[in-house]
Amino acid sequence: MYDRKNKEWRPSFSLLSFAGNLCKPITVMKTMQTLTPILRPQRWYFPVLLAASLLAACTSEQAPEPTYNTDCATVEVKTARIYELVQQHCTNRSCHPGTGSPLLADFSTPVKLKSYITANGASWAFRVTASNADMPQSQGYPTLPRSVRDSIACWVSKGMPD
Amino acid sequence: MLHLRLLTVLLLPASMAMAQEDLGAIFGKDSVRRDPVTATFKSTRIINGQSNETLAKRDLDFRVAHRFGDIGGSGGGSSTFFGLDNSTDIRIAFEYGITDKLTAGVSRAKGSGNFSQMWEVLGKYKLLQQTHDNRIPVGVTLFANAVVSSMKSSPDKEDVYYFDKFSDRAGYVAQAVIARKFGNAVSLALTPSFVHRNRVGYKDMNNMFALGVGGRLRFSNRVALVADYFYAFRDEESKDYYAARGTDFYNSLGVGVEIETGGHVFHLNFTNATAVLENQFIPETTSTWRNGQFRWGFNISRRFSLGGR
Repeated sequence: MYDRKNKEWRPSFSLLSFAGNLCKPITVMKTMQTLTPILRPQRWYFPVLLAASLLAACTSEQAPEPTYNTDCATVEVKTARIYELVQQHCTNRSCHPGTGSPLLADFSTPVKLKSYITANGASWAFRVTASNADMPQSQGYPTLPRSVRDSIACWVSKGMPD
Repeated sequence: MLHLRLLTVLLLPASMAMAQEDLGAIFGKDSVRRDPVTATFKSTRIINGQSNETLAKRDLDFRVAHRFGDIGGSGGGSSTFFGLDNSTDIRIAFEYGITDKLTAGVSRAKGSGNFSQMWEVLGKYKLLQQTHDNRIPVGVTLFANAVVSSMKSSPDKEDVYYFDKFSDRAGYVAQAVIARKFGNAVSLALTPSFVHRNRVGYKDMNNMFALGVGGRLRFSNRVALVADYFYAFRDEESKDYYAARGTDFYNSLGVGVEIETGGHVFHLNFTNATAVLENQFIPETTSTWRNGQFRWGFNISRRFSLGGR
């Protein structure tokens, strides 16, 4: 604490005087001397700030348990509805109509769609209806909701009824 | 006079070799053999996984990695020209050596797994380098990346790719690559890994540990056999849940040939992993060699020296 009579700082162990000691000009000066070289703009600022911002964005979310109906026995899906979805998500931007690339999967008519699925059932399931399906690909198409993928899978499993 | 010059040119290499032997005798064998072991691997990646190598200061590495479709199985065969008609993942990266030990980079990958349209920021730091005298028996390199997907969000909350907020799109990987070069022909790497994905599907794991093993067997100065394998520690509950819904997870295995052609390192490989990024191929590989679900792939690395060396 500061002894006004003798005009000097004296050691003290109370909390208040400890706080006061921290504010002593000499302490502040020494602290500044120590921190200045560390706080000077340096190369490590950018990686440290980057790492801190990335860590701040670190969360742990889990999708809720699926509640959609996966019981195909109760799902009524017809070719017309599925083909509408295929036109909406797969054939409206020069993909899969049979005229653009790739020619491999031609969905230009419901018949051609069905014949492709018949010949490439596993590939269709893997790329369109599986949980990690990669179709439709990134060309501005909206991704297929899980419920739509399940409806398509049910339609295929029932023999693609019209 | 001409004969004298010719004699000097012929004898100069021999005299230089003798001088080197003399230096070795003066400083002792240890001083020479304490040098760091270099070129444990030729490239910064083995096949799927990282090697312990970093770029030299001011070197820019332009990398392209490509994975084709299944060679065999129902998605492969002659109708897809053994997978060459399809691509499961493509990654284009620029990596730069800030110092000889620190590499930073950015990349864009198509993505294969839960997310697509992946943007990556990566950093790699060479912590320890193996020495010839075994004073440091292994090299240790730290690797970390952060990946963000720019794909459209699903409207369905139950989907993995439903993004309520930006952080749902992000994932991270941290690895320590512990590598050792045995003589001139064999190099091995052990890679403890940690994968964090901010958003995962129901019963999937946000945090996953994995252990990678990789190696390189050199046949000549330019050609080597490379292989790597990652064992993902996925808990049984998660495995069972997904198996009951028809999705099995597998560990990634890649084997390939590494060809060095002066400035280029070319990897021609086969792997069951569809994805290129660690954030995806470690926790999300669902294809297996046993069903013919392996594919051709290549990694091309072209280095540019920007330091005027």
